[in-house]
Amino acid sequence: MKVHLHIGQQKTGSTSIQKFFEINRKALSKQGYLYPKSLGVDKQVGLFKQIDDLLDPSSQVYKSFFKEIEKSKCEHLILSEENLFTLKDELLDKVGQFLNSHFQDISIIAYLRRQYDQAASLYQEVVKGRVFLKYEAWIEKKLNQGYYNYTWVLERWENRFPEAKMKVKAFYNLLENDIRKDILNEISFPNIEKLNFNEAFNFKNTGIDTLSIEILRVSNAFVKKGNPKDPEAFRAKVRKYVFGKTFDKKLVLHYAQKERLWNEFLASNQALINKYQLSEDEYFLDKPKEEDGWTNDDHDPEEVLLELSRIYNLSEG
Amino acid sequence: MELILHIGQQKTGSTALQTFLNEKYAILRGRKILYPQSLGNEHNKQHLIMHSFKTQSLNEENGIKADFLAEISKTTPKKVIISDENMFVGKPENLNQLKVFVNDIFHKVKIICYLRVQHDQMPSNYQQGLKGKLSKDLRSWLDTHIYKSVYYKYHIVLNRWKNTFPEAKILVKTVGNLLHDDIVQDFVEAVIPEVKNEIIFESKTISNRSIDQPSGHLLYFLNKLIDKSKHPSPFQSIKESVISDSSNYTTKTPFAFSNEEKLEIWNQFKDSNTLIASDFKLSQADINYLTSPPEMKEDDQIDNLERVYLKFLEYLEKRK
Repeated sequence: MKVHLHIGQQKTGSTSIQKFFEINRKALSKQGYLYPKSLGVDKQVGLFKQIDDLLDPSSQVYKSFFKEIEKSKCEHLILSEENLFTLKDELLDKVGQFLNSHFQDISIIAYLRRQYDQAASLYQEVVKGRVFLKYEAWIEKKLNQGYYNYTWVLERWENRFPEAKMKVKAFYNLLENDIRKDILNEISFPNIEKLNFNEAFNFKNTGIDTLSIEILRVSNAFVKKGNPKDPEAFRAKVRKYVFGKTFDKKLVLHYAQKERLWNEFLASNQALINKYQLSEDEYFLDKPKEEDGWTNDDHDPEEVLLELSRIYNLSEG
Repeated sequence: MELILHIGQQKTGSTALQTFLNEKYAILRGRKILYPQSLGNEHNKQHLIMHSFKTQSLNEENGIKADFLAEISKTTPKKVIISDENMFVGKPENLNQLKVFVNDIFHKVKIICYLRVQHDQMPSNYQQGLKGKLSKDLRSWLDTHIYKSVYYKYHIVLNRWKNTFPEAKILVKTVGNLLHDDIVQDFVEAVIPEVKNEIIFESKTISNRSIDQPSGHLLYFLNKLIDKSKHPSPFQSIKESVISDSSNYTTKTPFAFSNEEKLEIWNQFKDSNTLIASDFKLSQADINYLTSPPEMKEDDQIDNLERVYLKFLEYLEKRK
């Protein structure tokens, strides 16, 4: 059985891919491609969250997974989970141990976005969650983790999967400008005409404006400090307000912030291009263009306070 | 009859001193010391003098002088204490009015003034302004008060008093070097030592009632929001809560300026303060207090704005 392991990275259309595979599960299966649901309905989060069970043949998760494979009679197995991209060493070792011991033909697919675009997008996303760090502190943390050193990240995968085929792709110049079609092409899916490409299921993250990002971040910090009596009610109230608005200002990084990321990873990206023979060298190497950008510090504090007061329906008169 | 004129400055414990003088009125009277009531008694100070400056009526027949003379005549004191910290920066023409007022009645005048070093005094005044309607950002406030205002040039201010009252003894002291850290005891020892054995001084717990750093910044933004919103502003009640809370707790992070701001202030005023030291014969401890560089606090890495936002959210949560 051939395994197509899609490992992300985040903010490269993974949710679109996973939703698409989920709604086309049957149609994929008919053409010999299994998108299993025993490790998670929309994506195979169990691949790392339940990895200890997967390493135990007596566990229910192990049995369910292999029963599903056996029952499908498929020759291809698609696994997708973008959080695998920077899995911690210990977990990655286990994922390697598990997959290598059961599958001989593994293909690892990673879509990469250039650092200064990805960081802006990812920061926005994590602040929608529980991150309370300002961009500068957050990016330091990510850089320390090695997240943006793509050659290093992929080497970690190669070390655990020495026999696997690595397919590294730029999140750029996608087939028909559609990540779903692009990945189908990568896994050599034979006939895409019978698949449902309904746009309603083509998940796209809603971008929010920079002020709202700051409001979410501050509210996360407020929760972190343990201040609201009912943190979940508070979070819900903030999110109801923020997501009830329309947004106009696009999130981009300041030129200096972009340039820093570009500069820091220029050599690493060049190595990446050479090693994986990527044709998108401009995309990864071009110096960022100057455009109006944003950092947290740019917000007019009065605006932030006004927004916070609006969450509490405090009319400004 | 001697006049003891306490002229402040503000934020040096004047209210505590005035409250003491008012409360101990009878004991002082017993020693022929008068803390007069006829010059006004708003917040225990003789506020009608300042009021008369505005109306130019200090020495008019229908002014406060007649009542004051009547009070003196009735009580026959040896010493009279007049205290209003707002007199500190009286304009020269007002001081001249005061001189006429005083010289008619007293043969001896002692002026006592407590100073607070500028890099401590300015944050306190800025904070006081924030509790009012100040919505000027700190930088422009500093530019005005460091480089344009005469208030903090103590040497100039005190020389106005010296020039107006050349015969007076001017006693310049500092809050950095108070007897038992208490302006009341210091004042008594300095100008009315004859009563000190009759008074049991209340033991004081020095508590810092300064507003805390984020609340101070929050007040600034609330003032701006109040300025911009229609009356009644919804932010007014939050502002009142911030001010009210600040008088109920002791903060570990009182409102203060940054190290750079404090150094800038110290640099600007150290020469003027050195001149005071020689002109007014300050004690060595007072000289040190007024001329030593500010204590540097550890660099605060915490983002002030962040703390303002969190503080604001605390108040919004409390309002629910």
